[in-house]
Amino acid sequence: MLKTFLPCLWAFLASMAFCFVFELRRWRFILAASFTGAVAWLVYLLVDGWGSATQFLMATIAAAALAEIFARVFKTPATIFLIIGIIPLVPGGGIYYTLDALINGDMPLFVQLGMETAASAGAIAVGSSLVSSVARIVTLLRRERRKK
Amino acid sequence: METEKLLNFCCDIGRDLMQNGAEIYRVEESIQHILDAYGCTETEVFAIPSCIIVNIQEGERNYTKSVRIKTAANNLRKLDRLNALCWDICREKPPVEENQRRLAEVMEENPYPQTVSYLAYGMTAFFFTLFWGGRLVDAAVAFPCGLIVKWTRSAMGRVRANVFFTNLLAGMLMALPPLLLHRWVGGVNADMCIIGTIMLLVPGIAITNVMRDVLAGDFLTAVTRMAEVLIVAMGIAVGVAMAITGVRMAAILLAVAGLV
Repeated sequence: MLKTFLPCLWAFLASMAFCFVFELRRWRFILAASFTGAVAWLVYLLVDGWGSATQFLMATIAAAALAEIFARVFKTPATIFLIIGIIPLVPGGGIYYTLDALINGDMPLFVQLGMETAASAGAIAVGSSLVSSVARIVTLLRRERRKK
Repeated sequence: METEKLLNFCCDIGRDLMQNGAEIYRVEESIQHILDAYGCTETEVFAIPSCIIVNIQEGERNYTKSVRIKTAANNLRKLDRLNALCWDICREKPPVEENQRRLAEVMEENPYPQTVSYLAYGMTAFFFTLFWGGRLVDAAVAFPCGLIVKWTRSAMGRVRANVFFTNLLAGMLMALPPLLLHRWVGGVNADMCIIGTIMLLVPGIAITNVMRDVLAGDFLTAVTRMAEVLIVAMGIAVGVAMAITGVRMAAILLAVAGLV
């Protein structure tokens, strides 16, 4: 149990260190951004067994939704939380093992891993697009209602 | 005179926003809002990652300025403050000189001291190695690899090397220590160290913003950023591959030398 969810803690701490790489200062921003990263990985683990592309899609939707919420709460661009929060989802392992297969000349494995990595990257793109489109429409609707 | 000052200010704040990780639509909309707030009705704003063009028409007279953007600072703290500054300016509409002063104030803020920065790179590599399933030993090896990445980035930034070469060199240098340790000392899972450290090189801002820009209809920007992501990824891949093959060849050469 603990062993399954320990990566979420590592995701939190890794995202927190990443905040310093990107020069984030205020502690509530740092905590919110790291929290986004941890939740992204938690969702990824919770929908285990749905296929890796779906897992990445659901995790990204969760992270992007959280980023939009934090952006409204703290009145700051959502991209700040998303840049940090999405990092644990970037398929670093996938890229590396694809490369390793290529160096070893294992073409079938290279194609398989490459496609898997591309699919998860696509899922991340789709997920974050969905959420920010919805967020944009909601904001515009609210702005128009306020004008009336 | 006032229009010229406003034009200059808009280009300045646009450039600062862009360099610190704002999406294209945010750059364009922020400038547009400021121009609207100051009562400029006939305006055009165009931005792509490397350039901003602002045009203000007053009667028959056109004021245009373009700025070329080359480097990225990627300071999210400044992005937050610049965004807040835009809102304040649109609400209060202070004189333009006052705006320039406030902008300078935001941009003057110093980045983290070098030690904090190095520590951040090291710790990111450390925790990401654990995250990807490495053991504590692997994470401890990844820490100095993170420092190498930071050092390479600063050094390459000083000589203005391009992103491809910077990432190639960073990927190669950071992959060498774990590979060498793995081959001649043992007890280290080199894959885990390298994967953990690769996360530092991933162009996070470009990846995140490329999707957000596509939605706003900025396809030209999306293509540019996509090219950037691919070039960086290629640089990392080639760098790491060079390290792996280099270590393998060294091992073979040593084995041959041993036989002789």
